[in-house]
Amino acid sequence: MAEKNVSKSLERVVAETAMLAGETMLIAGAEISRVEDTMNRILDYSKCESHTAFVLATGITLTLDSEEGLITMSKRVPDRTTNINRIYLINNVSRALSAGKMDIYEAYSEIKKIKDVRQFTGILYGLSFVGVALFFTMMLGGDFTDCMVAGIAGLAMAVTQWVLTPFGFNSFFLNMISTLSMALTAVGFKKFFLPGINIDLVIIGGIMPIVPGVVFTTAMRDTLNGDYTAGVSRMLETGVVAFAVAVGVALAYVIL
Amino acid sequence: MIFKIIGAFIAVVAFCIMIELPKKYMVQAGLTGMIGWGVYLLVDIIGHRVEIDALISALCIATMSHILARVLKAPVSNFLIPGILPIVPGGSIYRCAYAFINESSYLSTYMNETLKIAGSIALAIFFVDSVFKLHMPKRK
Repeated sequence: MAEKNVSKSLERVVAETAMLAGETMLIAGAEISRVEDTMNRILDYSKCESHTAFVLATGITLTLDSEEGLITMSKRVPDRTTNINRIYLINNVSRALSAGKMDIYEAYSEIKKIKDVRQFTGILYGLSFVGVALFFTMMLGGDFTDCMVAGIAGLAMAVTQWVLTPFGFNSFFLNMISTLSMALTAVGFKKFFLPGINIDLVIIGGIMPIVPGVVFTTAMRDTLNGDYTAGVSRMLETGVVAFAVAVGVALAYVIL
Repeated sequence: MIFKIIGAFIAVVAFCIMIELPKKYMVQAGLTGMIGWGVYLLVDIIGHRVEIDALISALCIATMSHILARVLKAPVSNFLIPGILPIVPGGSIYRCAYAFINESSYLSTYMNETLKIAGSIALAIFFVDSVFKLHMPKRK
């Protein structure tokens, strides 16, 4: 887009590139200070005297004081996932840009590509749910049957997520229902087939794919960097997800 | 105990697939998580206090992630996020919310445990981050 439109000034392209980079990183779950750092590094390319990137956990604003006037952009960012690969790649692009190995048009098209890059899809992603559930149970000291039940429960969770994601439910509902199907499987096994399993370990292992450990760590580092709004909102996110998980498990006990 | 540690390694690697860690850093991240969990279990043998276990193992994990990040020229969070995962109080958070729904009298116990572990991890990350910033005054 930026390449074809010749009428756009350099400053405008720089601002758009920075906004795209910031948006992609924020959706991928980067720390606020890293997003601001990367955006400022891209904005430096314009050689303008003053520029600011102001990032919150739910939106981005940037201002660039160019020769033809102020450029201001703001963008709301409603999605939140975790994708460390994208953060890593954009970080590399911004470093190459400030080292002069890449010009701004190349950087723009590169970031555009990174926005949708995925390393693992389909079966492998589903299997990772099974792996996490199974081996977390093993890590916490479950025996062979516990691990197997946790693996099956993880599979139920992965299938539920795969079926429900295309409908576009909000994340609270999605987390709750997939935990419910996981817990139903685990409690069902305990009740009808294997009364000897340690249900506590199986359920804690099974909820591990959803439990917000990543957001929790990011929230801690945000707070340390002085981004208190982002720290608090991410902490709240942790609480909401944990609550969804607890409701899902409690429902399973009520049903069975 | 060997099984628990091996389980931690594979669990962390499986989690790396879920959070799309770059492929070339997966083994290092898995090792970070594995060593962290090993330290946690060892400290737990000496004294049964979850907050001390979490503090010491989080210190090890954070130090290791910072060193790996410097050596491999990658962001610190590449190793810190997967590495810290085994000790994040997911189980306690869940037990807490579950006790809340059930009106169980254990709520305060679990709440206490969660806050203690979370605080220890935060303290360890804060401490190590600050120490490494001393040596590298300004990264550009």
